[in-house]
Amino acid sequence: MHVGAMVAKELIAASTEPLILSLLAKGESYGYALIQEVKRLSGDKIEWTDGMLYPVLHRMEDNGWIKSRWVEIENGRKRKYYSIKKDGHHALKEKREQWAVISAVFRSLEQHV
Amino acid sequence: MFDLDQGIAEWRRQMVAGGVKAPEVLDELESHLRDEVEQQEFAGSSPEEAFKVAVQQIGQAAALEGEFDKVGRRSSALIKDAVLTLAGIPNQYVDASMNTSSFEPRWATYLKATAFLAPALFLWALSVVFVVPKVQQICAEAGGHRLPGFVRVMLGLTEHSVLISGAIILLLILLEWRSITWPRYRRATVGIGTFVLNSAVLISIFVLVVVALTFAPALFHHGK
Repeated sequence: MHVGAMVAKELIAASTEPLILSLLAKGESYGYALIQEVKRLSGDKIEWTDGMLYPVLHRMEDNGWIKSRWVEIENGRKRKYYSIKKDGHHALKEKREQWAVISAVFRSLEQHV
Repeated sequence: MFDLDQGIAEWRRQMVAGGVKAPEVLDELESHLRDEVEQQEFAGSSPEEAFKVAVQQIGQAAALEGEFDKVGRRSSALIKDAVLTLAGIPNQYVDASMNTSSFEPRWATYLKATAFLAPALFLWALSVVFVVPKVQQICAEAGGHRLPGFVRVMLGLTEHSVLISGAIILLLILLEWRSITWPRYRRATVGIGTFVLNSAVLISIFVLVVVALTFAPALFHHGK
């Protein structure tokens, strides 16, 4: 059962990059784990799809924010791990500040109602 | 008995047919699919059921392709590719050892190679007709020198150019027709070939200039 509504599509789209950067800032990870992690942290309210996530990851890699490497895991399987780069940390800082502005506005409006 | 590897091979074929073609992207999606299958099995599904659910989760090829198109490749990345190709350096997608990609369509590879080769071949043809005889004359008159070995090899190759280009074209046709692995190496091979040919022409013309400059003063002595 979901408690409360799922996050709207537009907000998901706007927050994907900052969230990926935040997740990767904690350490190297791969697509499937990122989806699981954000699902868990959001209490099942944000469910990324692979079809949305991988193109975004590839674009961020082209941007020079993150880099990837293939890692061999058990029985010949391989996984593409992503990690954050210096430019990614800068981008993350900027995006965090912007999100902080928006939530600060919300908070102060709530208090004045 | 359900065979996961077989199921995945079939799934990959469907994805390719649906337009998701880059092997690197498919490898990543396959890795994702296998993670999802494991997760489903862990939750108690049979292997076959787990696979079915995972495939549904990962979405249809058409939808995925739409998503991948939307993002596209950044123009800076495209420019980087173009510069790398111009320099004859195999592009990163080809270079990634285990994941090669037919990122560039066949026609683009050959079109670029032709575009980069045309000026060099044109200049070389002009040089062979107009410059080489003059330089040979200068060498002979300046004391019976011969042209440097590199240029003589190039001239020898030029003599058989029809045969050589025929053989190369035949080889390429054969590779395109028969070889399964060729598309992975096409871009790198054609790129390197173009680079080598361009360099050879450039070096030859440079050597011809140096030879002419070196021996021309001797002509004056002989003239005296």
